[in-house]
Amino acid sequence: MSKGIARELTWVITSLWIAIFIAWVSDQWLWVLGAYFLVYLSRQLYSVLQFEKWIKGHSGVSYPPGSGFWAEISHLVSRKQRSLEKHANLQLYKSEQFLAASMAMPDALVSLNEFHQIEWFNRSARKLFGLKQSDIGRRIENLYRHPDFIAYLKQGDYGQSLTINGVNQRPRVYSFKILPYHRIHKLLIVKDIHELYNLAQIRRDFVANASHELRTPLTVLSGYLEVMRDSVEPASPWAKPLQSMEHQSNRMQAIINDLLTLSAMESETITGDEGPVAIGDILQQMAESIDQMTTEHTVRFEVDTSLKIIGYEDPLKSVLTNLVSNAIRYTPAGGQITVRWYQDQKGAHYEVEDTGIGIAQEHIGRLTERFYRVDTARSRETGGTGLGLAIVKHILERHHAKLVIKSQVQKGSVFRCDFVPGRIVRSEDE
Amino acid sequence: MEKENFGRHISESMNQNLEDLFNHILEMGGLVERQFEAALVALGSSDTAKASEVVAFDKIVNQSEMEIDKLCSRVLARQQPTASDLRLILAAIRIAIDLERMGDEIVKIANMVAMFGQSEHNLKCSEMPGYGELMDISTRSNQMLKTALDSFARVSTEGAGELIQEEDRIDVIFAEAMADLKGQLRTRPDEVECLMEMIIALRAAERVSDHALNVIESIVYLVKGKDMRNMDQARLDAFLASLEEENQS
Repeated sequence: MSKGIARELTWVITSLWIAIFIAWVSDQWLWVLGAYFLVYLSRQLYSVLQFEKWIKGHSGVSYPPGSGFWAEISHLVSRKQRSLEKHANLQLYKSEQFLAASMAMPDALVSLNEFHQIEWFNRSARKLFGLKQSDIGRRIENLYRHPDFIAYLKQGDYGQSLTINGVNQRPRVYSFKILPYHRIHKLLIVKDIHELYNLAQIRRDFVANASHELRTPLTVLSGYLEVMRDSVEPASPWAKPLQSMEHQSNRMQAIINDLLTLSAMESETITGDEGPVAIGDILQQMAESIDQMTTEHTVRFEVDTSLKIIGYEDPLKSVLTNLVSNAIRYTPAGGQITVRWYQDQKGAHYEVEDTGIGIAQEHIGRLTERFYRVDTARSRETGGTGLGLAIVKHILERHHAKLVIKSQVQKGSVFRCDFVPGRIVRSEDE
Repeated sequence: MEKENFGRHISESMNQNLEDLFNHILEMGGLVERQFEAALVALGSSDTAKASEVVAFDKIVNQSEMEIDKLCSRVLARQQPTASDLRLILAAIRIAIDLERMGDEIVKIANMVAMFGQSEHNLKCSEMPGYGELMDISTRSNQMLKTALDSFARVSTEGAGELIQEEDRIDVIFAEAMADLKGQLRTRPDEVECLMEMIIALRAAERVSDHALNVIESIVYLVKGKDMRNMDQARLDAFLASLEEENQS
């Protein structure tokens, strides 16, 4: 039985006994019972009044005066209230803690709504952008007006981050990233990547300088090797070592050349202007001189000669030859290689299909890493540098194109470059 | 969505077109800021490639000004705005003109860098007399431009007093640099061309600060409806003091 009802009943029974006793003594049954009923009613009403006052918080008493049922009720209510308060305090504490944590972040955080208006920002953001508390509700692009940032904000695709050199006269490199969160909100995160950026720069410079410095001594070595090989009789015991030395030095030269190409691609200093490149003509030249590359394979060319794309000619040439020479290298003698250059509604495509050894699925994702090799022994033997596909990837990125690789082990592979329609030019248009 | 956006900014009566105009001005301002920063980098490291970038920026800035002009005339013709809306459009036209002029002045600085890069005199512009002052004025002008645009973004006049003082300081530096160069012109007659170029660049950097001041005047006009240009010194001081008081409260 509930405690409140038990208390109420105790009170009713006790007081009823007293009333019956009084009635028995005075023998005024009707009057006494009537009076008892009135007292009981008024007690209830008075308790309701007290309770109401207390719950409204007017009385200032923490525990309401009251007896029986109402005392119990108010006790329960106040207990519930206290636990709610405690919960609310905990919530408040938690949210304050969260806020303090975001304030203390070394990265600048700015929360934006769908119109790019500022909702809140942390201490680092205040310092970096010179924001003020009154700026809440203003658009971020009005206060930070870097054209690249505005373009990034407008494009709506926040998959990649934006690197900006120097923010509000601070000569450091920052990375801007927008994360959509909680339906329509966006979180702008600005990270100081100055050290990282410099490190990457140092690495690039080092690779470029080292390859450059190695090139000169190597040219001297291979020059002398050539002379020595020519002056040695084929029957001499030195003929074989010399030949092997020359072969290896050529390989080293190829690697160094590839490294240099790669670092030129990375440092974003392609010299020369973009222009329409006649891929068809280049492929036709390749078809004419294909005998120099292989005599053991049948190579078919299916080329749309009027299809051109806007790009850098020399880098694109190396994409074309790299993919073909890869196909030749990894296709056993007698295999077939098909080179296609065509257009469909998705854009222009350059495709090299072979009937070679193929690549297992787990390697495909890593193929474009530098020096990544599926079978180290094999590719050394065939004379690859390990950099070809890395170069292809970098050049294609420059042209906003994608490299798609499909392969089946022992059946063959398809390497396809997808160029966006915006870069296509037709010869008739010119 | 338009309904929701309506009147969210600055004043209740500002509609989509006016908001666009407002954003456009700041976008153009961002371009000029960027252009100036590029010019400062070019100047600091005698980088001629950066200098040609500055010149390329100017085309976009000019285009931007034309767009703002179009937007202004469209709003004027279609909506016949009054009061603060009208003031915004007038201020926008003026600010756009000032920004465009700033772009032209910045190109002059870049031209100087480019000229030194290919001159047969084999002089470095960082060793020329007046170079230090040029850097100083340019950096200060750039900061002034930023302050002015920030004030516009916040539709407040808080930068006005500071900008006026800064402009006076720049005038002093400019006068000193000019006096120095005048003397140099007499003693180094064979380098007249380079010195002339330096004078033009100095003048350009100083002009940018003047235009930044014009921008803040337009903003004061937008916010307060008062024209600072025709005030004498005493009235200007009183006016600035009243602005200061307002911004602090």
